[in-house]
Amino acid sequence: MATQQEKDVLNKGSNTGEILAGFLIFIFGITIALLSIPLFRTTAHHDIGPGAFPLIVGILISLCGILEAIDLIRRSPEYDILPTKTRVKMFAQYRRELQLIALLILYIAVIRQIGFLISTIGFLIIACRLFGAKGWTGVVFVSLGVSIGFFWLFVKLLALTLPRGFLGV
Amino acid sequence: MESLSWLIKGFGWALEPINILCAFTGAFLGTAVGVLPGLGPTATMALIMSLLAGFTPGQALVILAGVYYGAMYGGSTTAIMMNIPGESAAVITALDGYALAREGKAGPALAIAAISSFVAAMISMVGLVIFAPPLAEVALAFAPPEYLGLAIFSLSLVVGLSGKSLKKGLISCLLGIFVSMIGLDPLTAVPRFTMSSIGMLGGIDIVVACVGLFGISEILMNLKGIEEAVYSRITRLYPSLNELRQTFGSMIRSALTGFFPGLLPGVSSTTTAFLAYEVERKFSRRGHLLGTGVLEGVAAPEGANNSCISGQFVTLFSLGIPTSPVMAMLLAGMMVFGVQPGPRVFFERPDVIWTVVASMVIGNIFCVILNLPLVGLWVRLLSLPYKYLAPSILVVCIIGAYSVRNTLFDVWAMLAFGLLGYVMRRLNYPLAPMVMGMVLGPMLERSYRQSLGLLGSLVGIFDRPIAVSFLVLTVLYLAFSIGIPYLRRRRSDM
Repeated sequence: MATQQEKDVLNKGSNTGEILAGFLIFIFGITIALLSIPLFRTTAHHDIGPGAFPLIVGILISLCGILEAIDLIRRSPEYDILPTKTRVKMFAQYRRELQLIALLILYIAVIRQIGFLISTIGFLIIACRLFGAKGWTGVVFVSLGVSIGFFWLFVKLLALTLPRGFLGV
Repeated sequence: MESLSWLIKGFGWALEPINILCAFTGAFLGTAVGVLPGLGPTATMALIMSLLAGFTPGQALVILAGVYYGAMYGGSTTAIMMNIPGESAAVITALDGYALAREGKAGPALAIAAISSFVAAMISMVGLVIFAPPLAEVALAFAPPEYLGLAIFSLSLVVGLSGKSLKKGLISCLLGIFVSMIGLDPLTAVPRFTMSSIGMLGGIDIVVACVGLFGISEILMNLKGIEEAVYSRITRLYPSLNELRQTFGSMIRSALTGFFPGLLPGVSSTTTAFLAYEVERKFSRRGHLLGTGVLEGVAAPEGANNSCISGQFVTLFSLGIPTSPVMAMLLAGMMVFGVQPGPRVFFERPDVIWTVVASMVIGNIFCVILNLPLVGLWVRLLSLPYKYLAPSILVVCIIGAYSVRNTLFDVWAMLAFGLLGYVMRRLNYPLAPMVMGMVLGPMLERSYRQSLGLLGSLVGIFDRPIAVSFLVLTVLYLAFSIGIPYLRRRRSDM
């Protein structure tokens, strides 16, 4: 359980995230503007070319990003350098989100090789546990039922094409 | 009247068995989505869009529209029964609705919510039939400079969708415009920002982006689960004649309070629900009792959030402007199914438009049936454990993204947008402006470049009265939305 002091620091941490986001958006906007300069050529009569609009958008994005960052810095309260233990706690609160994202990446990476049905069964079993399901019997039963149900609904009934792996399902 | 004859033809198309089935499907899905917290109509429309490939444009749009107004009906069920609004527009309904449920009047509250929604929707649909075609005729005179003015005005509504931070809303909108530029340039077919990737050459599909932004990010935000609440029992389902008489005035007032503001950019169903509640407090005989558990407090917001939909449809169909994220999804749906949005759609595809309008009547009837006698079904749906529901929703998101173009690139793009949406929500960046940017970006760029080609320079735009009118409206809207609150803040600081 976080103490009040740690909660204050964690809140300031999210402000740091917004400031960092502002600077990243500024850099992103500049990148868009630079990438659009080579496109700034007229390829048809009376057309300013494909680079003009992205250049404007890139400049506007970078302006908004830097203004947001500066505004947040001016409004931010003072804070000390965060101790390592607090920094670890800040990332630890996102542990489950990171696990789910890793699971999604794995699922998408293998779905074409293994096929929709088998990869979905595996994904659902792990994902249900991640969302707090206890025990294995119910989880496996629900995962099998949902996977087969979706396969029947989307592939057989709605005639969608889903990845078939080396087993053909 | 030409509109009336087209409406009658529309009913003829809408009453075909397949279209009735589509209206029912949309209403059913929408009600389910409205009841279940965690997945709104925008994400659902994005999800199912890719699954409707085998349907005609009219059928697909009927289903998508049904999801929207069905969600308005469904959101009130949990708001009244469990004090958990399934949709943001039902937040205000929960105030009086849940109080009534605790007094044992959940049944009449649910019934009045459904009836008020239906009555207000029917009244506002008359407005849709009256206002939309003449507005579309005016818009036929539009050329690229007028479209440029219209696009600028439409994007100014980002202010209304930005919440507390205008800069964050602008950034979100500009990011959406950037995403719309990825792929081949529409005028010259030059690749832009594709990073030499074949997948990127086709651009980022808006459906894929929205499934990620709204669907995946919502699941990530709710990873710790949604609390299961105890719900009230229903004893008497239907209201008495006296209760209907008490709330009739509220239904009429809410129809008007929802429809006219719904025509304006930036006004959502949630806004009109709050507005109708305040109007009711001022003008109803029992307005002083609002908040303590009176049926007028349920009738007003529920009527307004449904009649707002018709107002939004007027602007969508006649001008091609989406005035809310859900309308942006519908606009995207029109484009996906080959119905070119804009004022010409009334004249080029009247079969589609009038079928959708007529189906809204049929769909609203289905919603009343689904939400009254079948209310027990929806309450049972809430007992589905979120720990099984959420992973299933993730699988459906992946199926939906894959089905767009049968390529894993879209699934990866969906995941990337899901992560982006999650980070944006954590950092308090609104998502709705990004959807607006993705939808309106192409129109803005095309009209900007064509206007420059036509006029030589943008100064020529000031010679065109309709374009100038849109620019003046933009300035007035921004002055009203930003300038006045800023001046008020400065005055209170002094």
